[in-house]
Amino acid sequence: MTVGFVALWKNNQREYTATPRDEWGTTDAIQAAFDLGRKRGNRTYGLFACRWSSPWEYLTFWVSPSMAAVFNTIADLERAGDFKFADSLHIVGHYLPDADALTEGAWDVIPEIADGKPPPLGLVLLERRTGAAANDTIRRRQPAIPGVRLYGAFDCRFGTAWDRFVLATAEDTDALAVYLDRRERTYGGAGVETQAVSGRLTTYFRFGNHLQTELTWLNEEGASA
Amino acid sequence: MSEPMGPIGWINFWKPKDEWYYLAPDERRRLLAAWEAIRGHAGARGARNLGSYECRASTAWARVALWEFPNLETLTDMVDALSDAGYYQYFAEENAFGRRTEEPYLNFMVAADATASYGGE
Repeated sequence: MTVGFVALWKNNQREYTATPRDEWGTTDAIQAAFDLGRKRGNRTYGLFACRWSSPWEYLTFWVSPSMAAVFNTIADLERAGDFKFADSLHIVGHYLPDADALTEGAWDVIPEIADGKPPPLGLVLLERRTGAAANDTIRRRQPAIPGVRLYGAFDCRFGTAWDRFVLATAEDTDALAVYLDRRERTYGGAGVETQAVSGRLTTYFRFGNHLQTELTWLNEEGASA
Repeated sequence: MSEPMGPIGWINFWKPKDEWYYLAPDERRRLLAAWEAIRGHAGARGARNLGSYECRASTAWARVALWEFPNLETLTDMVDALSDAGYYQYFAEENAFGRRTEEPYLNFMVAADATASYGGE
């Protein structure tokens, strides 16, 4: 069963004091873990910087062929030492057959920064019913907004305090704002609570105070698309 | 065909929503029986409820239940059936799940050994 995975993380103090050997030994091991994940069928849709919009530093999301593919990749990342440099929040869910929440062909599109345009934005939108709202309150028609690409809705009730999450990218803040505004209107007064985290697509990972310009994160992902 | 996941542990925090307190007694009893039948069906598929615990003294929730499921599908089928039967209209939850491991420290031994090989500072 297809799975959606969201990772939110923030660096810890160790990143500022790690030796170059520790930084790059660990980074190489992390990249090897991601590579194994790609071989398992994980598709990663960008690295989004979100310090400006959330308590987190980075946001990324994957679409994976199975829960085991996600768990096995996380185990590889643990062995690589990924989590010694960051505190993370992970959310995983099963794909919901909600065609309006998936832009046709979206899973084949790795977000890119286009010349002369602002970096696209990534979004995870968590949703849950409140009060006595009906079961189908959230699963209403998603507004189709130009410039917004939807990567699907995922059921995460069994593993979180939320009912589901939607993954999306937007070409700019205007498109994102219009999407969220229209989405809110479809709820009406039915009682749906939401929480959104959005980030700006970035090419290089920041380790401590410097960018890892030796590693072009986006190219690695784009090459496997 | 998905890769196997192995047994799934499930931590289930829950509390009633406001609407629960305003249901008629017969309706409350009918719903509890329906939900218990759904949980019983999961039990027949191999799910084990290890117990429910009062936890208001230490959390924002009223109860926490500890479960183990033979696989993720049995868990998600139970949650879907509870949803269809109106459970989430009257009760709020926060859940966490994980796959069982017999070597919970192994990955961190590997990571620490690798860190030591980078100079260990």
